[in-house]
Amino acid sequence: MALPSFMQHMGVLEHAKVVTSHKTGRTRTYQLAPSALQLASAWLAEFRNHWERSLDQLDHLLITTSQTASRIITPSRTASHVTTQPRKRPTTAKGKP
Amino acid sequence: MKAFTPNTALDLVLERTISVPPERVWAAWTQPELLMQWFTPAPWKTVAVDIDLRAGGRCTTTMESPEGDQYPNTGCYLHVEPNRLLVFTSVMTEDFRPATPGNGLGFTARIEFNANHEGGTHYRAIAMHAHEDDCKQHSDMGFA
Repeated sequence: MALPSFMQHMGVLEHAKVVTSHKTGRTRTYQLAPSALQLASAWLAEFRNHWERSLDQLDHLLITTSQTASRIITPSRTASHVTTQPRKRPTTAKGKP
Repeated sequence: MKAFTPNTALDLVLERTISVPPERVWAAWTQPELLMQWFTPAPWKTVAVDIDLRAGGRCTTTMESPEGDQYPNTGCYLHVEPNRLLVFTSVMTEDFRPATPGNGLGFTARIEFNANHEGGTHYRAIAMHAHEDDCKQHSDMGFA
């Protein structure tokens, strides 16, 4: 790779904060700065953890109700207007998972 | 329908298979009394669900922290195809009205339901984000 192309590539990486650089005399030294990438993946990882835990609860709910409930739940095909207020105990609740 | 391709840098993709039919899984995602039982990871709770299940219909859930603080999340449905596909977003409110910037949590959720050959369901839940800042804000609120 020619030096100008290489510098252009490094410029893109530096702009994206993937690398940092400093110049000493005629030498420019690049250093990997993975924090930006690590941060993004950390947010996603935490987000994933929440979703996984919610879906664990969903799976548990579906499995336990399929074993105990004879009631078949069929979604309405028309628009439904259902409001459940805070702390109101749902009549069909089987208890918190 | 063209298969949706997630952006791996910005989207979360969760796939699961469960031994109940799509109608049951769909119900758990769309009926308030069922949604309340699983939507928020314990010890947080979903204490209110106010939805109007149609494209453009509102989708509001209220989370409660272990300390009792409540956090309402507003949104609207974009696509409602029973037992097949559910898409909702936080960046709009009822009837597709743009949410105010302070609404935070810019995300769109897409849940695909597919019946498998054993009478069960394979579902794929995708949370889409605009950019890293949104992911961070979502994470900082402690809610996914």
